[in-house]
Amino acid sequence: MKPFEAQSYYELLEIKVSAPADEIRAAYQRLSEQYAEDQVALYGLVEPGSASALRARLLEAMEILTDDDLRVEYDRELGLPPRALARRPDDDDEPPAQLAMTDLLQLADRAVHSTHPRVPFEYVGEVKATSVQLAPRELAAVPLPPSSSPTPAPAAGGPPARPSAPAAEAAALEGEPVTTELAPRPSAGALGASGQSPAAEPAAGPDDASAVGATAPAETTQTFIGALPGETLPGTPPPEAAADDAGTTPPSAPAAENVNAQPFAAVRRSAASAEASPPGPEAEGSTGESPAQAESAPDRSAPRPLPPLPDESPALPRPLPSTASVLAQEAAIGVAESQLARVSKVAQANREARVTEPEPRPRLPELAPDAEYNGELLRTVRQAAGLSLQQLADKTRIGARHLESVEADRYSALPATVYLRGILMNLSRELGLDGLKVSKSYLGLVERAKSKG
Amino acid sequence: MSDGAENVIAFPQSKPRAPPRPKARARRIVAVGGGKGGIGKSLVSANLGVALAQRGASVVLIDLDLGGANLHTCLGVAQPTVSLSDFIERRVETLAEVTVDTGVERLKLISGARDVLDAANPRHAQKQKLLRHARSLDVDFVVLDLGAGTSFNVLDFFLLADVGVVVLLPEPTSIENAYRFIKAAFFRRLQSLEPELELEGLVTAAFNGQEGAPRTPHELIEQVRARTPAAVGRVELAVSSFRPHVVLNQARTRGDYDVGPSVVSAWKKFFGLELGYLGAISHDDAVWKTVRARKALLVEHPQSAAAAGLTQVAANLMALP
Repeated sequence: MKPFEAQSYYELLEIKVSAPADEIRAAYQRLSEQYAEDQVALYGLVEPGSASALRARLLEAMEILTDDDLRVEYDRELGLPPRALARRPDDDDEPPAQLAMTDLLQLADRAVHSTHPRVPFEYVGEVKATSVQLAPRELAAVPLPPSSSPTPAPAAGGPPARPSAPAAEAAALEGEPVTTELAPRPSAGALGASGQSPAAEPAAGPDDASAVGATAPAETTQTFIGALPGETLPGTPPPEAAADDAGTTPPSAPAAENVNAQPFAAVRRSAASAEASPPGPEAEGSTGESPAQAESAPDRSAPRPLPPLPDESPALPRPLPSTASVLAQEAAIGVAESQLARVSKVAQANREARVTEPEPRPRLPELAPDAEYNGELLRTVRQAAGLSLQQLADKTRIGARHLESVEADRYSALPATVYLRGILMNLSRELGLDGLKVSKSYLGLVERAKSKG
Repeated sequence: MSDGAENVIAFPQSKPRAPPRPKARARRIVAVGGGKGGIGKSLVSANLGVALAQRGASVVLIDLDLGGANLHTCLGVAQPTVSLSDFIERRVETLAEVTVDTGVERLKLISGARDVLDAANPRHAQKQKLLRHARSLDVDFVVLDLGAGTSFNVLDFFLLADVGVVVLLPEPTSIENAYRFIKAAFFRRLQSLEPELELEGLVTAAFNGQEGAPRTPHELIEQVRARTPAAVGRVELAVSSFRPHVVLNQARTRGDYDVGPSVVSAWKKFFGLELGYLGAISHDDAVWKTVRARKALLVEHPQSAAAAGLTQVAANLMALP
C-alpha cells in the first residue's frame, strides 16, 4: 500500500536489493520508457504531473544506486542487513567481515560525533581506535580505501599556493604507495597496508598525533587535506614536522594514521597542506590550528580563521568523494562520511568564523567541480537562474517551505535524509547542477551539523 | 426449461486433455467488467466460458448486462425462452431452471433479463439472492458478463465475484474508463466492507471528485487514517484483498501487448495496489466474422490468434490460486 513516493529505490526500480549496477540501469531504462509521457497505459490514471514526478524519482533511484558510495549509505539508511551492502557477487563469501566493518564504522561514527563533532579527521582516527578494540584485523582492512580514484585536485597547483612544492611531491609519493596497498583490498591487504605505511607503527606516536591534529584544523580544506597525507603517507618528511606539533600524541594515533592517509592520499594538495600545518606560518592561522587541535580537537572552533578558503572554496579542488569508492566495498561508509564531514566542516568554518563567507556568486560558471553546495550557494544559483523560490517550488513540486529551509541551511527543519536527498537531487536537476554532487555535499553539511548539535 | 438434475455437470475426471490441465476449482465466480462499452466484455465472457469448458471445467455463463443482454448471440444460441427475468421475478425457484445449453460441452448459459422494466436496477436483496444462487450452482466456474458503466449494480456484482476481470483496449478511452472502473470498485468495496466506518461521505466525495476528496485509493486510506486511526488496519486488510485482473483485448502492435502489464505496474507504482494480469488477446478479423456469423470464436476458429489469446487467459484464470 505504498505509492511510489513512499517506495524505496529498489521497489521503485522493481529490483532486488542485491541487483548489480547494470541491472539497475536496465531497470531504469525499461521503466522510464514505460512511464514516458505519452504512454497510453497512464491515461486517466493520475494527474499529468505525477508521471514526471515518477520519472524524476526513477532517475534519482538509478543515480543513487549506481553510485557505490551512495548506495552503501542508502542501504544503511534503509536498515538493510550488511549483506546487502555487498556489491559484488563474490562478496557473498565475506559477509561476516563486512558486517564487522560496518558495525565498527557505525560505532566509530557514533563515538566521533558524540565526542569530537568538529574534527573531521578524528572521525577516521576514531574508527581505527574502535576497530582496534573490536577487531584489529578488520581495522587494518578498513584503512585500505581505494585511493585509486585520486581526484587529482586541480587545487594542487592553484589554491594551495602556500604549500611548498616539496609537500606536493611528498603527497605524490604517498599516493602511490597507498594505492598499491589498496589494490589488495582484502583484509590481508589491510594488514599489509598498515605495515607499509612507515609512520603507522613505529613513528606512529608523534606522527599520528600530528596527523590527527592536522586533520582537525583541516577546516581549511587545504590544510587539513595536506595534513592527512603528510602524516599517513609514507612520505617521511611531513610526518616529522607533524610530530613536532603533535608532541602530545593521542592514544589511537597509529591506527588512525593509516586510515587517514589512504583516503586522502590521492589528493596532492593534502601533501602541501601537510607541510603547511606543522609550521603554521603561512596563511591565516589554519596551520596553527591544526596542531593544537590535533588532540583537543573538539573545542577549537575558534582557530578556524580560514579566510582565504572562502574565496577560493568554490574553485578549490576538494578531495572528491570518489576517493572513497574502494572503501565503500570494504567499508565505504567511514570514508564517505569523513569526506563529507570535511566538506561540512569547511562550510561550518566559513559560517562560524565568518571570516570570508561563501562569497556571493552571481553566476553559475564560477562553480568549481568540487564546490561546496550549502544553502547559500544553492540560493545564489537559483537567483542566477532567475527563479523565485515559488517558481522553483512549482517546477520541482517541492514545497516552498522545504526549499527555503534548504537555502537557509535550517537542517533541523528539513525532512529525513532519505527524503532530503530526493529534494536535493530534484532541486539540482532543475538548477542544472549535478544532483549527486550537490546532495553529497549538502548532506555532509547536515550530517556534520547534526553530530554537532 | 431444464430441471435441477440437468445442470449438475460432472467434471470429467478421466478425460485425456492437455497435460498441464490444472484441477478446476469448484464454484469460482468470475466477473467480467471494464467500464467502457464495446470493448468486448461479452465476447471475452462467452469465449472464456468456451475455453474453460474446453479445458475440462463445467461452466455456467450468466448474462448480467441487464437491459442489454446478448450473450446468447455471441454463442450462437437462439433467444432462450427462459431468462434471468424469470428468476428475478420469482417465476422459477432456482437458477438451474433458467439454464440453457449452448452447444458446447460443459458450458451452460443463463440469458439476461429482457423487456423487464427495472431489470437494470434490481434491488439489493435481489442481487444478494442472485449471487447466493449463483454460488450454489454445482459447477466449476460461474462467469458473469457485466454491463458497461460504473453503476453500483455493476460494481457490486464485480466485487462479489471471486475474480474480477477488467477488460480493456489499448486506447485512451478504454484505459481511462478502466481506471475509473477500478477506482470506483475500490471505493465501493471499502464502503461496503466497512459500513461502520461511515465512509459514505468520503466515498461519495471521491466518486464525485469533490474538492479535497480523496482522488486515489491511497489518499482515501490516508483520510481514513486521519479520521479513525483504529480502523486503518482493517481497511488495509480489506484493500489488500482487492485485486482485479486485467485482460487486454484487441492488441494490434507489439506495444499493445505491453499495455496490460504497464497498467498493472502503473497501478502499483502510483497507488501501491495490486492488479493481476491474465493476458492479451490479439486483434483478429476472425472475431468480427464469427460475431456476424453468430458463432463462438473458439468454436469456429479455434486456431485463430485471438482464440490462442483467449485460451491462454482461461488457462491463467484456472491457475489462479
